[in-house]
Amino acid sequence: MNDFQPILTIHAGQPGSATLDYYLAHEGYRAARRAVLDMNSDEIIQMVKHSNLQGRGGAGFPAGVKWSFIPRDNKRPKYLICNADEGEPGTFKDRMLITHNPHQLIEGMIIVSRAIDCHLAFIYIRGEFVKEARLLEAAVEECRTSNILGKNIFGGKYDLEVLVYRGGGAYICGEEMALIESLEGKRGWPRIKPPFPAIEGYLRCPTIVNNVETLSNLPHIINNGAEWFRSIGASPDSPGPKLYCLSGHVKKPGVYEAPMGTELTTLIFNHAGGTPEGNKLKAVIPGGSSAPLLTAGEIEGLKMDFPSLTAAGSMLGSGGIIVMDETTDMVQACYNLARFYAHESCGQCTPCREGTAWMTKVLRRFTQGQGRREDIDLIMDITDNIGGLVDFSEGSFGKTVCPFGEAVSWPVRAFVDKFRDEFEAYLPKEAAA
Amino acid sequence: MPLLKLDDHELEVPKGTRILDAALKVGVEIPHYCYHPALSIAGSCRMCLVEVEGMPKLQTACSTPVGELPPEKKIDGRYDMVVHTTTGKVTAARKLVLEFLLINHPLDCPVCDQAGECSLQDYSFKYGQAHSRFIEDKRVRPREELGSGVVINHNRCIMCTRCVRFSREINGTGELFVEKRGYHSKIAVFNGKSLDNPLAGNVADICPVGSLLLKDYVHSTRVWHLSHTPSVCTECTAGCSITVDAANDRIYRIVSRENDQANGHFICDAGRYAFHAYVEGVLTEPLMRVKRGWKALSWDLAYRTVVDQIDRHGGKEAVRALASPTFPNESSFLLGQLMQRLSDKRNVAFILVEKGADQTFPAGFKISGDKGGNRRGAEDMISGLATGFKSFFKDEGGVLLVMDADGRAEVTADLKRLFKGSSFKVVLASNVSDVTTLADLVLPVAGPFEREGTVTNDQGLVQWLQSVLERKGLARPAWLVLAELDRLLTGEASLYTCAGDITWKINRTISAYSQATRFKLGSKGQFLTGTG
Amino acid sequence: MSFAFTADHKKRFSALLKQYPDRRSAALPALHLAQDQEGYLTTETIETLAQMLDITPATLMDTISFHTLFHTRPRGKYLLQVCQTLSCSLAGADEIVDHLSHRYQIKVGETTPDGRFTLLKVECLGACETAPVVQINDDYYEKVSKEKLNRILDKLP
Repeated sequence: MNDFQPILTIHAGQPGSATLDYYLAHEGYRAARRAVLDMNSDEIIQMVKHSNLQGRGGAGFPAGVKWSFIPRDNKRPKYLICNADEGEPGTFKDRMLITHNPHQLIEGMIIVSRAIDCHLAFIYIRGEFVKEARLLEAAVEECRTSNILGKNIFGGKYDLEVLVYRGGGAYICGEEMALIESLEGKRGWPRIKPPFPAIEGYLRCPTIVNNVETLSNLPHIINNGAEWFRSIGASPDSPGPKLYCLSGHVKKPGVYEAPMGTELTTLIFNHAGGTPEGNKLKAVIPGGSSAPLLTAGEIEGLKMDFPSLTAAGSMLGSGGIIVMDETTDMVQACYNLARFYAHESCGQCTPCREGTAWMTKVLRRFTQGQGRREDIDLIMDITDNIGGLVDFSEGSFGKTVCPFGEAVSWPVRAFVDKFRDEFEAYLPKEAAA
Repeated sequence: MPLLKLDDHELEVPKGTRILDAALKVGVEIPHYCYHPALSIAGSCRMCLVEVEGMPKLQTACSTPVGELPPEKKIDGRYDMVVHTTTGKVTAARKLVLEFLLINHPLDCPVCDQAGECSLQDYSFKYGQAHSRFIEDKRVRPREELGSGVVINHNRCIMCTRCVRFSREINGTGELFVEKRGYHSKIAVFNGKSLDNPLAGNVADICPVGSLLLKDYVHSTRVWHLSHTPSVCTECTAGCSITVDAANDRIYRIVSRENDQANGHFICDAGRYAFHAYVEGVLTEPLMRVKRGWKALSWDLAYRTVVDQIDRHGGKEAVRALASPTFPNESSFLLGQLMQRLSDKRNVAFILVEKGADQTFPAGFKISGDKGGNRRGAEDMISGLATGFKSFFKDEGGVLLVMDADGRAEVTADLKRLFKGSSFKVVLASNVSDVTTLADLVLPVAGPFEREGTVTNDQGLVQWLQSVLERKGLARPAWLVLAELDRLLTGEASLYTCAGDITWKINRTISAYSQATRFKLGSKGQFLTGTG
Repeated sequence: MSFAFTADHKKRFSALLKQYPDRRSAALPALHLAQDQEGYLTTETIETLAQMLDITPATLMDTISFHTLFHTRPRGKYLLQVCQTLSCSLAGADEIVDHLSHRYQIKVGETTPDGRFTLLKVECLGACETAPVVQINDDYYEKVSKEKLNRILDKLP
């Protein structure tokens, strides 16, 4: 693993890497051209299925399998939406990919679009990324003038248009059903599933939503083959290069590309230089704020891929690693995240709308030194009632329309569960006794 | 067809039927808020969560369809889906969803008009927990008037969004929307605008809690004091089914009554508030025009006056009548019968009532432009006898017998001319109107909510009109007055003791009405043979 | 005070309507366009846009009020948006907020009397590796210390 050469971020930092000229000079659009002119839909889908590419947005669903859900006999137009609504705290890899290599993303989009017979694709990018949106528009324009997008691309018989769509500022719009609603011009209230977007998505037409990083992998899979992809990483069940985002208490925060399954300790201490001033590591959020945190004791030998993290009681999610050292006040950190989720709750369903606000109010009262002993269990109970225990044991399970319920519940639960002593320390002196 | 097992019930349902719809059909209660049969599915309140075998998480019954399994995969060898609504998981879920709903809900029951018909009360009692663990500050917002007589109490709102979906899907104005998101979400109308559409009041009917209420009704009574009488609205020819809520011989409100053969689930504001119009100017005794004004008569004297006037002014041949499209079929039937016995001429015309343009709404609701509520019925009753208004001008008149139209008669120049050209005008009416002021003799009859009988809407649906209030003073049912006049003028005694007796006669006399018997009308009515 | 797109924006809006398979999809792009032009969305702007998109103003307001980037009240010339979510909080976002609040003598959510600066706390801006992060109007300023921020603010026209 030490001699791993970056694949997705190989051009990062090179002058002009975002331009079409640069990309073409570095084998750019070779895969898309092949996909459009020499491959058919089944071949592309099979190849990607075989590669075991899992979604990099957070859910980890196998990309090729998702594409195969599009019903063949459906006469309605098909749509591809690139999810660039990167809002998961601790995650900043998509911004990096867009900034340094927008064409890699566009090429990936052409490959998927070809596979699912889509002729109009969207890049839904969070509204705050203004510079990045302009960059994408410029890249798309370059493609249009070079017959890479538009009619009869690459001189073949396939048309494809890409539109860059700026969001309006809502984390929930990163959830695919809410994203689709927002793209339709409505409020981002996630639709109930079923029907799934592959059957009824944008404008009730078959739609695929894929993350930026997922799409960026595709040119490489087409160029080098599924076997090559499977060979990268600790296990062929969860393979490929992965962009890990390290932030928080590390000396060198940033995006680090490494094979899937790289050990978490390697990422924190080798790549990111470890904690500042040699402070002791206290806890790590391994996959974006929605992933339950792990204590320093729990991360020894932990491989950063989907199955390993699930087995450890957390999730790989977006790969956003937030490191917390001994100077971290875990109660404040917990409140910080609860407040984030309360702010971003879309409000559609009862448990999340009322529960996130309630939980945040209790936590705030806690941080102000007015917590009661029973509040600690109350918080656990509230999280339970919104999002359920990770193992769906009897009497507790997610009750919400969308995974936001689990996203707020599991992390907050983990904070309270694993740092109960810090919560107890916040109790007013009489109660703590 | 797929076989569903729902608790102890086994039922075959068309593929795609939602679990909640199946449950409603067999009477299994699955509590719900955001679901409404006339609106799109939201699946957001999470109250209807049920356990579906084979699915790890609870599913919302309102949105989960019953599918079909291949024979080898059927549950217990026969079922396509097995649903449990009373397991520990389900009862726990309901309890906890209710806890969430109540944390910001004020303890307003003692002052809230929804009390007694509130789903939050009912479900809390049945499925909730007795205490709240919430000790934080509640979200507090002031009450707002939205317009069209609708007020919203934001603190009580549970964000089921029925009102927003109604505003978009049923009345099409899209005036209500959800503002902001998350905990700060609230129902709103756009900046400075007010709710302004003919169906506005329905949002108060469909609001499951005491958030949306009608100004007209708030703080006037308690629902448990009210009697609920199923009846029909007669303000226009759409003939919507309604429930009239009254106490102490006073109507407090009218709400819609579900009838998939007529109005569906809603009524318009005109019908909803119509009962107010009949409270003033109630006629309580026969009145005779005299030089100084009006003189009260006994019924005996009133009847004798009519007979007398007919003798003096051209006799039976010269009698003409104006039927009204607002009275039930029974009155019109007797009027027709009477006029037929008086002469062979076509001597009945219709009093003029507005026939404007219909108002249609996106999901099919219609307000008819024809404000003669029972016009179809009235025309059916006197068919063959009816003639045009203007033909009356050919002859100088004898006695004119007029059925008034509950304040909706158009007093045109022609009507005034007709009145002038008739020697004696007898008007049967319940309230003082522009028509009664032109009469010579006013006979007080039952008002719109005091009448009984059948009415026929413009689709040919016959429904039973049920009386709600007592007649005032000496007012009598119109059919009774006409039967008595018939007896006095033709010698033919009728044996009718109630409106229903006349309905039976209609069933035997007019073939299209043969199936519209009281038995068959039930609560949803019966279509005329050859229609529906 | 009625609203109309500038000639250039009008062209862009017409192009938008043609590009999207459904008119209503053009809502967010249209709102960004109008807000960039006017600074914020007035009632008249919303009514005009709603008409152009063939929806009711209430329906458009539904979308507007859901998304935090759209403002229906005037804001300062410079919108100082300080990220307060975990990584930035661990890097000292609270001090940055206090610093700005003190520098401009306004509380969070308020605008300076001269209308130049509005101070807001926002959630994760997606640039956690360079925490703390402040977004001023459309631009990200990353790894800001109090001194660096002062220098940036001093230079603003």
